[in-house]
Amino acid sequence: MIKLLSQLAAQIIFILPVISLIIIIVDRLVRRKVNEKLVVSTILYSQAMSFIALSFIWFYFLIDGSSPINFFKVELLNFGEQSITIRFLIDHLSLPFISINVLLGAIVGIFASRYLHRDSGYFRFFVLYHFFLFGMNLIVLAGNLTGVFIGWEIVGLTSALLIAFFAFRKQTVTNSLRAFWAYRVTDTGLLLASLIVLNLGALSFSELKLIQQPMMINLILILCLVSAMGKSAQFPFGHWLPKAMEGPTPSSAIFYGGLSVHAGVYLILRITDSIGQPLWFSVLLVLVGLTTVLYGSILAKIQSDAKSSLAFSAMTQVGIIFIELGFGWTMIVIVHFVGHALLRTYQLLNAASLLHDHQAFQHSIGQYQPKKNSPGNTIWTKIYPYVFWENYSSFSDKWSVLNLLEKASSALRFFDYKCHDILFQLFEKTYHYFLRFKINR
Amino acid sequence: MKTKNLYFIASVLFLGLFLLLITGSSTRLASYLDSSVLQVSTLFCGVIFNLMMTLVYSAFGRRVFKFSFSALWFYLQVIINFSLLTNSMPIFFILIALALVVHIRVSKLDVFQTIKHSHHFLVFSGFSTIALVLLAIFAGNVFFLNGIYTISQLQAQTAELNQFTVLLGVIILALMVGIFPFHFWVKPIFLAPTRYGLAAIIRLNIGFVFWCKFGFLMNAAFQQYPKLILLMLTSNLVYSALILFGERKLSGIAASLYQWHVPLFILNGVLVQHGAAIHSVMDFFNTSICISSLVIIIAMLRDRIGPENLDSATGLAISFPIFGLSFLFCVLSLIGFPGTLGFMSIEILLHNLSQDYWPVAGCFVLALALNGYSCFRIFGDSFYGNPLQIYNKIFQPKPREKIALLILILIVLVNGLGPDLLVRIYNYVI
Repeated sequence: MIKLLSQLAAQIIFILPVISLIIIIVDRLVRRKVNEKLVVSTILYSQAMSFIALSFIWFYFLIDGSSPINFFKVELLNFGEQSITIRFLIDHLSLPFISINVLLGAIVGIFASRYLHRDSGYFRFFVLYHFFLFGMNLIVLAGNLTGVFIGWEIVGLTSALLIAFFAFRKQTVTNSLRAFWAYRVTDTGLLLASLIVLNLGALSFSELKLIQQPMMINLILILCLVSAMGKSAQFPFGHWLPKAMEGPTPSSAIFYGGLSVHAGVYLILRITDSIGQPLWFSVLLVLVGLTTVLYGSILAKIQSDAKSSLAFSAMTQVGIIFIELGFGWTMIVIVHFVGHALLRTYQLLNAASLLHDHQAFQHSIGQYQPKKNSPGNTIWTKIYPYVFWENYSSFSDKWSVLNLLEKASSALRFFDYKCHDILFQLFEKTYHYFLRFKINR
Repeated sequence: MKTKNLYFIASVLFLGLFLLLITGSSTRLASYLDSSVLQVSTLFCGVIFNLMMTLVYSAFGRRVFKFSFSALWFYLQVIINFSLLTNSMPIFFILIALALVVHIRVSKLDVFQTIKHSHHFLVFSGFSTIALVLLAIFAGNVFFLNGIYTISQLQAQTAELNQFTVLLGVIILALMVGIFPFHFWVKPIFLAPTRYGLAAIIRLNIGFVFWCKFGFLMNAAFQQYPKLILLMLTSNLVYSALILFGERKLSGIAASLYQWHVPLFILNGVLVQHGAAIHSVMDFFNTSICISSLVIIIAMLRDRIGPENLDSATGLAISFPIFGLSFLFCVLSLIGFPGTLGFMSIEILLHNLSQDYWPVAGCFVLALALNGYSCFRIFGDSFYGNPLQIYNKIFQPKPREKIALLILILIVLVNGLGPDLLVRIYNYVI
């Protein structure tokens, strides 16, 4: 009974973004104008239902977490001896990722409904947002590489279209193309890996264990790593990440702070869990991570704007997660992913009102010095943003690096103190914006 | 009744005829025809061709076509439909030759554009002449040397044909469909002097009809010269991907994408023995629908902003969102994006290629990545950015145009989300 309910709950989580997408598109076509109230209600109700469904799944895993929940099977094509089928499941690996998908999806959705109020691209944003959530669900819940590839492509396309959200600016289109180029080149790795797997007759991740040829295993690992490096902005494919911040702040938060940038981590976790992790692959992961950490942390110091600084910080943190993957610390990877996704989303959502918040803080402690001259005339106003952003980003790096060094023993404390703190702030912020939205109406 | 309505009704009747045949609803109608004509690829070709013609008539109507133009346009439709339903080789060749001649006549109608694009016209005329001469030689060769007069007879005796006939058949097929290195007419025809470039749809369909009837010659040639055919098709893949990579103009995208897709449906046909037809039909369906749609969308844009502004246009998606959306869907389908019509055919082709022909699969994957980027770049350059001042509300698409575009989007999405539907129709037909 509980398993049946959990299967139903998983189906609900999987399908809700599509239903929301259909509702807002049909409403737009019928009314011929954007109905912001409906968009907000759709997000609220769908995410509330997702939370309820998610709690069922957690309950199932708490009671009997030994077997994964196989909840859906789609036969895309079947003729003769050939068939292409995608199975969907939730297991110990996909559970934290889908939970974060639902949580951050809800928070950013509600935040964006206020942030983009009366924006000309309001409808476009939410169409792409729901489409993106569906893509993320596909990546996390798919039971084979073909399903992951479909989600991967959807996330890539929505990402590129959202970077070019402010379509009237030339630079946004250029930056969007840069991101799309990196995605497109590295996605070929996942496409080839899924073809190899299909040719070897492994129709699901669990069947990957049956592959005997070491040559093929190595090839699959390499190809998946290339794709993961592209999606997670690892060196040398990471150049697009700071440029991708041209999009609206909520999309930057959910894509490059919260979910999309960690899709590569999930892929590596998933594939090494099924196929094993040879020593050379571990060394390679550590090298990739280490290079990215050096590259990202050095460049983060010289950025002059908050979002670019945060982008490089995110790149650095994901690099550290790659190092953890190389060492095979699965639990730390998951904890780090959860902490980093929440923190970075919070920071990116907060980036727009950072100066305002900082001044409010200085006011409250009586240190605020109103400028006498116009901005840019004093040395302080010139160096202020640089110092401030640098401290801001380096704080986040140190914070996570320290946790990395504390390893498994600090994981619980990390959750207890940091995550609760961040969660609280995140909810407070969202609620604050949402309340203002309601009052204004 | 207005003439354009008559053409539209005739077009719907043709479409209905092929739908009756493909679904097997009318046995009496089928009994009038030669059973060898009722092949899946031929019937699919008929459905797609007449569907596109119906959409063109409904979307453009009299606004684009002058009387003389639309009359010739309609004659071409009749000729192509008859050539699909005939099994006799002499009649088929005469009809195809007639179609080429009428098409040249259509191309000459727009005098101003003909002078402006005279080199394109010369290339097209030259190609048509070559094709006609080769057709005559091929027909003579088959008739007199082998004593074969029907297409089904030729198909049954392919193994007994002499090598010269097979090679000549492949060259004509390559010329008619536009395979590298016989592709020189492809780009000019998409920029043809014909009004609004719509004649490209007709010209493509002449090639498709030829491929539906004589595609088996390529299979025969592949049995005899596999390396040569693979080399030809792979070079086409790489070449067209590079051409598209260098393409910066909106008007050139349909030509480059078409050129890239031709080897795909031929590869689908020749590589896989089991269930080859469905692979090929799926890709053929995708190519015909999406390329024709691209041509229609570009024609609609040219109609509004003029050919001189088309390639320097920016912000089209802001001015005309429905054009932007439909363009994006067609392009995504052509590059095999998941959830669109093209995904399954490209996925299956890659799957089959990777089993036996890894180098070709590798080239294909690289070309796929390049094409995705190139298409997105052209989309970004033309559809994003600051919209020009000349775009006005009076240029907004008419309801009939919107309906045509929505039907196209639905075809791309429904068949993409449920590709099994197409396979079921296919299985039902066979």
